[in-house]
Amino acid sequence: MGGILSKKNPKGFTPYFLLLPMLIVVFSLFVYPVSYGLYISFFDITGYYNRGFVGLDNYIKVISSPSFLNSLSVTAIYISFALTVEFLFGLCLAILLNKITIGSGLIKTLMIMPMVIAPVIVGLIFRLMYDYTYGVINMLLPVVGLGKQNWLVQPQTAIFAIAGVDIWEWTPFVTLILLAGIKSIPLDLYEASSIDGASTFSQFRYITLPLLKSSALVAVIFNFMRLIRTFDVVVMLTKGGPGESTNLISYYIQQVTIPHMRLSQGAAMTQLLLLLVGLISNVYIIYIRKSFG
Amino acid sequence: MSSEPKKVDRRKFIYAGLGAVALVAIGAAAYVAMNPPVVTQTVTTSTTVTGTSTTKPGGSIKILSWQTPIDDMYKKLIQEDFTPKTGITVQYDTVPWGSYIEKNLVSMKGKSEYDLIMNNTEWTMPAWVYSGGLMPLNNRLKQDFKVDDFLPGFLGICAYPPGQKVKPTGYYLNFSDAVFYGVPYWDDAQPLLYRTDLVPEPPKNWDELLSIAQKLTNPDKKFYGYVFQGQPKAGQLYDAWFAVLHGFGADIFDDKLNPAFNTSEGIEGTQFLVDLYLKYKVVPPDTPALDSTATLDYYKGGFVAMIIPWGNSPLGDVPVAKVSKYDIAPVGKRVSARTAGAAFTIPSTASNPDGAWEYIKWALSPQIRAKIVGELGAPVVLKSELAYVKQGSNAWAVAQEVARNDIGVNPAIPNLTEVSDALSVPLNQALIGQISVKEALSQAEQKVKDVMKAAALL
Repeated sequence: MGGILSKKNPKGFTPYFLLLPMLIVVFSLFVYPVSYGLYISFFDITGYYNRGFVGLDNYIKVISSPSFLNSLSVTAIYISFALTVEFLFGLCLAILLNKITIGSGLIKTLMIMPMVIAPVIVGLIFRLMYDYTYGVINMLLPVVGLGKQNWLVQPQTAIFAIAGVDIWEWTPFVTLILLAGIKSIPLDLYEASSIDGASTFSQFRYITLPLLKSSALVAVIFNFMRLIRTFDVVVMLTKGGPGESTNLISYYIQQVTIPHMRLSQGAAMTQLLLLLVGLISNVYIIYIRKSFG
Repeated sequence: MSSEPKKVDRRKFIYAGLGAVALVAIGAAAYVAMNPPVVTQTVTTSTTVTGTSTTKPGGSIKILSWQTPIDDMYKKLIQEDFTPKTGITVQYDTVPWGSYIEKNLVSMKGKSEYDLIMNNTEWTMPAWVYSGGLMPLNNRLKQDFKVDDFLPGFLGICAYPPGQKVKPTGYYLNFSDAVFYGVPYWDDAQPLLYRTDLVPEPPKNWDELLSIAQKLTNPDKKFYGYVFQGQPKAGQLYDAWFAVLHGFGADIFDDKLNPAFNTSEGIEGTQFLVDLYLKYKVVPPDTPALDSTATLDYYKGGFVAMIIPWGNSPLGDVPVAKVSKYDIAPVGKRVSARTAGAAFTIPSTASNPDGAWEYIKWALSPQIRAKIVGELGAPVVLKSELAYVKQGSNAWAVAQEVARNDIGVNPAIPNLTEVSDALSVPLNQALIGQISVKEALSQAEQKVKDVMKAAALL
């Protein structure tokens, strides 16, 4: 007879017992909330009434809502811009840091600083920096021959201003992950390619980049999942404005669910977002694996 | 050469695990010991006030309040006076406004853990009334208070017509048949705050305000005549717009909850507000992104001459406070201001409603209000408290505005936040010149209709 107490499993309950605390945490903080969210997304529940089961009504309303679709498109622009810039900056910095031998420990420590500052404080700092009249950014722009910008008031600049905050705060994270990846590449490969006459660019193109694939995957996936949750900075800087131009999806869902008290619609949006994030992440993972063999 | 991975001793592993659990437990116990009652994960203060149980009626009550300047005084007085007198112990949870609505909503959805909730009369109390979550207080109110003692405008916000759960105009002043769901203890309005060194006589209407603002505005010196909040969420732009809209003679809803702001008066008022920014440029360039804190900071920093804030927003000990005065907001067809406040309310599921009522009686008793209003300068809610206010003070200006009887009040509907957000987005777009005022009001009208239909209120 099989089972956990059989001879094939002489340790009995111990492994399961040791797993129990984590299972409880995962169940109570992930499985239960997600399942309950899925359940109430089929009802029409707000903070002030409960109209019972409505089937897929909430999903239909959400998908046909211009504000939700706008929010998705704004979030896509935000993530694409921030992710690309953070990755490119992070890669450049990682390559530079890999070359530096003196003071690299201090530089790495300093690079961690933005990440440990509370997002609310970061928001406050950037609110002051973006200030039209007194902000340091507008004070520097005329120095390089550019005019002052009303960063948080113009729809065309506000979303990039929000992304700028994230780029400042989280590029070091990408840098450190990529730096670890670069450090793990065997030096023999570079030495052998040098003997074969490979240029620095060729070494970068054919050795560094392919061998960085797993680090890059981690950096991009982590950053993507973090960027889609961006909330604090929007609260501190724009509250979704001007108009709805910085109404990122996490902020929009929070607004619908808490201040507007549309609990079921908020739950439906969360389920759709979960599905979307899972889908995009998996497509990306498959693409990276296929591209790099 | 390969090396065997080092095996972890099972016993050591279990001991390490148990040690970690013990550390977490000790840490948690220390945290609880330092922060006795856990309230919310956000910054929240909570004090359990204990006292010697001497007389009736005893027991304990739990109160939810959002942070106002009077909470500390109330907490002190509970310890010194209320608990010794009544034997009722009080747990007084104070939540910052930023997380108050969330906390309040959580409390409303389940069986409320609170016996007494200080409800905001605009943003939370209507949802409680609509969902049937509040206890009517008629008998208690008429037995222990004189209804005529209250400033009618403030009590009218807590009064509902019999059988109705929403109020398009926010007020109900026929107290003979009203259902009272709350007792006001804190009220506010939107008076004009101005620099007496720059503005010798306060403007009486919007044209005068514009004229003064134009004379004082000097962008080169980074100084502006006026400022208002233009952020499109959380009632920010809505506050500024509502005041102007009301002053120009338009309303949010008609008596059947149809949107009523897209009228000639509404367009004129909205256009005036937009022109202050786009045409006359008498407000700071980042006005469309400002919230109420930022606008008050502009005033406190000495960068603007006039502002219409909430009257009880603390000015603090800043240099401009010495040359500042409050007066009635500009008057058009009506005064360009709104009143709102906070009320003591008792949830239907309260464990100790009698204890909660004892607290309300005590908190509004003359000797306690003498300290709260007389010493602390809190706003008046009773006619007898008008003696405490000094001309030119914020409390005086608030009382003057409310006494006019043409002040605006938000509609009492459960989804006001959603309505105000739906309005604010197109209004903000008009403010930055993305769309015209007429387009903005048409879009806002449609959005509000959709929101009201979704809630089956239209």
